[in-house]
Amino acid sequence: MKGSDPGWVRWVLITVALAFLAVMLVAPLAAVFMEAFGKGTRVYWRNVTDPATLSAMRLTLTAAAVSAPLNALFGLAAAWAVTRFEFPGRSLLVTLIDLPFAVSPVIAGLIFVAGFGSQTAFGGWLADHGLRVIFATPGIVLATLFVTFPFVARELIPLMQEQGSDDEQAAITLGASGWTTFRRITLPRIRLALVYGLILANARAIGEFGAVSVVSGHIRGVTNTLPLHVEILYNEYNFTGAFAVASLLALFALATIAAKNILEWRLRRAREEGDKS
Amino acid sequence: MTGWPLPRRRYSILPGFGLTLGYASLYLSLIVLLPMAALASGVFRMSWAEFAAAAFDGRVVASYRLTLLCSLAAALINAVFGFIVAWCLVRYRFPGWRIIDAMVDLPFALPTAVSGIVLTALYAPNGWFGAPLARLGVKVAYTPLGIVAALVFIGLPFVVRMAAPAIEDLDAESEQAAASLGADRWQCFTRVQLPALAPALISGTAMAFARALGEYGSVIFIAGNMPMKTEITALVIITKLEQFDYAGASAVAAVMLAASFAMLLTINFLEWRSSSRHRSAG
Amino acid sequence: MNIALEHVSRRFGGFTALDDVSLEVRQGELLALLGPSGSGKTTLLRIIAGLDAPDDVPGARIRMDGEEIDWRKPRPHQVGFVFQHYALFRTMTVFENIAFGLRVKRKADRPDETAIRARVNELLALIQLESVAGRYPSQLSGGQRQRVALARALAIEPRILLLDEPFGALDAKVRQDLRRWLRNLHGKIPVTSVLVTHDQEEALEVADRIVIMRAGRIEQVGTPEEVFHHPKSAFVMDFLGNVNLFHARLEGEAAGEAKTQVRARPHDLEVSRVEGTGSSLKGKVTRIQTAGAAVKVEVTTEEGEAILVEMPHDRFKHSGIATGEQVFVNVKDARVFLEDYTI
Repeated sequence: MKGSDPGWVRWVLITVALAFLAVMLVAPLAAVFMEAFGKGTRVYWRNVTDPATLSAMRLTLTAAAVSAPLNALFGLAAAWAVTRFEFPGRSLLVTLIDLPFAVSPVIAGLIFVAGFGSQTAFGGWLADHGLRVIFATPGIVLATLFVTFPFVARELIPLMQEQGSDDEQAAITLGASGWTTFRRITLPRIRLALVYGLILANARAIGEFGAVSVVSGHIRGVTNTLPLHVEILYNEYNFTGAFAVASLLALFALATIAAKNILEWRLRRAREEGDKS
Repeated sequence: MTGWPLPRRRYSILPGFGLTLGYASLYLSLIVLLPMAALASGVFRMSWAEFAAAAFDGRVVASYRLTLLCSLAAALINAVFGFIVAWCLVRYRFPGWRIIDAMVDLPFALPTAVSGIVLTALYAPNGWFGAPLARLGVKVAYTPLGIVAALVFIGLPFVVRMAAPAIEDLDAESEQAAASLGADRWQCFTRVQLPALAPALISGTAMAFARALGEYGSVIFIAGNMPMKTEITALVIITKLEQFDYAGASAVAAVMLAASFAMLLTINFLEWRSSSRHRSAG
Repeated sequence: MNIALEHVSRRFGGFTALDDVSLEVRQGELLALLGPSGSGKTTLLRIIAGLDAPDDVPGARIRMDGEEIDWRKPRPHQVGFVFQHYALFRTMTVFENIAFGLRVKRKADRPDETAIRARVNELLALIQLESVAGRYPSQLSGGQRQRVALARALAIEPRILLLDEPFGALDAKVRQDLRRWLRNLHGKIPVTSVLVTHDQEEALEVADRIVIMRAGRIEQVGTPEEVFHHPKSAFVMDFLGNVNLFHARLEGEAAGEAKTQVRARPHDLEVSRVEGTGSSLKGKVTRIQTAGAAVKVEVTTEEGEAILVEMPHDRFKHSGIATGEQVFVNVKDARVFLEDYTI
């Protein structure tokens, strides 16, 4: 919408906004890559393909790959339960889903140490049976799940609420089973929102630092994710190495932003077409 | 409809209640409820004296003060500049606005460790911004100013994303009505438009504030982390954990959680109040 | 199939949608549930369909073909339900929508693809939409979508067809055409049907029997002729067609000074220069409207009451009545209801 603001106001505001963004957004992004390539491309490549980096990448991707389907299932289940039925405790469920957003990442990690650490009864029992949770991969996965599970549910719940259940009721009256109805009627309508939520969750899973920092053992090559690896390199004063790994994460962040915007555009188009019908 | 322990639901022709609610409840119990209960039980097992000693120790209180003040400063800076950015993005179409609009999401998408190290590099005495500022006698890195800079970065999208839809919803007709009644541009802005935008602006600022309170990754590299001076509360918790002082860490965490929940309730209350006010206005 | 509901109630929180309703839907009839919004008609329809259940009150029973069913469990049989906003599957074509019910049948009951195609084409011919079989719902007009929704419901050969305000969202002309079309369809495929509407003209035109509802209760059940010419209550008379309301005093020893209201339909009144033999009122003609199926004459009495009289065009021409004339309104037929008495 074109503003009715006088020309000079517009130019001042735009200049201020652009200057602010240049300082706060553009400079950091540029600096990551400049520092990463500071010692040349060969050093960059060596840093990126270092075994410790690769193992950190593997762990990060594992956590993300494990959490994605679990989050998708949770999001679908929670959205179906909350939007298609009425039951006592429904608003409690919705509030619990928002909980991780209100909690500091460090506390997110702490609660798993409190719950599954070997100093607890449960954790000690698990350790006796050879299953380490904290300071091992399972703990990292759990902490990742905590900070990422709301994303899919928060996209699906308002959408499915808005869409209503008429179509699904129609399918049931026509004799379709619950599973067929879900697969052929519900899923096609929520596909885009599901992918959008997964993109957000995935970005968070890969980038999570605070929570994972608490539950990991910071054991290089074993319990380090990419963000933790960045920290270790930085603390060793290997700045070029740290920024090289950071640049990988930055590239991934840019890919996430691109995917997110494309989906937002498609979601908006789908909604406009939905309004027409 | 289903047996204990799931709640009874009203008759519905749609199937899947037991399955979906069961899975969701199981998931939540494992990932949220049980761990939080473990934390809570740890805290309740302490006596009040133990709790107070851990949670209100001088060093810890200094961290509360630092975290609160820096978060507040960052939130207010974002309120002003984030609003300007949102205003320009919505009302002015300048070349490249689409890319800039997408880039506002960068602090959301970028891992906090990455933003942590790059902001430190930028504001360190030999950095792109740090060097000129040092010449002016201003130290940013390893001081509370650095903490504020990092918190401004991660809070930026909140205000922009909350303010932008509200600015889009601004009623062109109200603007024209105010102008026809003789208001000049500034009066129109302060008396008509800003009050309409206030709820969204306050919500966005509150969210940026809440996020800043708990932030860890972006801050610990630039903060300097000196106890009593530049140590944020999140770091205090981690330090206690590294010393295996689980009780102490839990106590401080309890204080942080109380603050977070208070913020969450405030935000919900603000959003509820603004929506009901709009409803009654018709 | 016939369905009998006994003592069915349904409350939503503090709001009572249905209050002890008992109703029988007869095999093969087209029954209309008619009433204003909030009367409970859609709730009743959904309970008949099995999309909702009555409150668990002793005495509440639902019988199908005489057999009592357990309404606490979702019902296994198939109903044809046409939703108010059609609920067509957006990601499927018209053809696929209609075929859906046939394609999701269990393996044992499912016809083969050729049989399915034949049936769908048969239905497309019935609803006269063969040409748009490949289109998506968003590409159809409201009337076309409605017909597809109906065909989809009929494809599974339901034993009962339920329609929730099927023509509500359509233009007046389309509504009229579809009403006639539905009536013809029901003649060809006499499946037990229940229709919910708030449009009394629609109910009178289409239904075999009408159930008039108000505030969760049934006011009257009967054929269109019965409910129109022999309304059992003032509400029913007011709801169906136009009504003139008069205030009168009762005369006679038993009544004393009782006041009452008298209701007369516009076509049961006559405008004449001559006073009639029965009840008659004096007044001045204030408005004449000849644009319509009948002529509408508005007469205002000395007390300021406005009376609407309807008469056929030829009678009007013959009478030569003009605006401003002093005339008599003769009452040919009028009704007084019990509830109108105040003593």
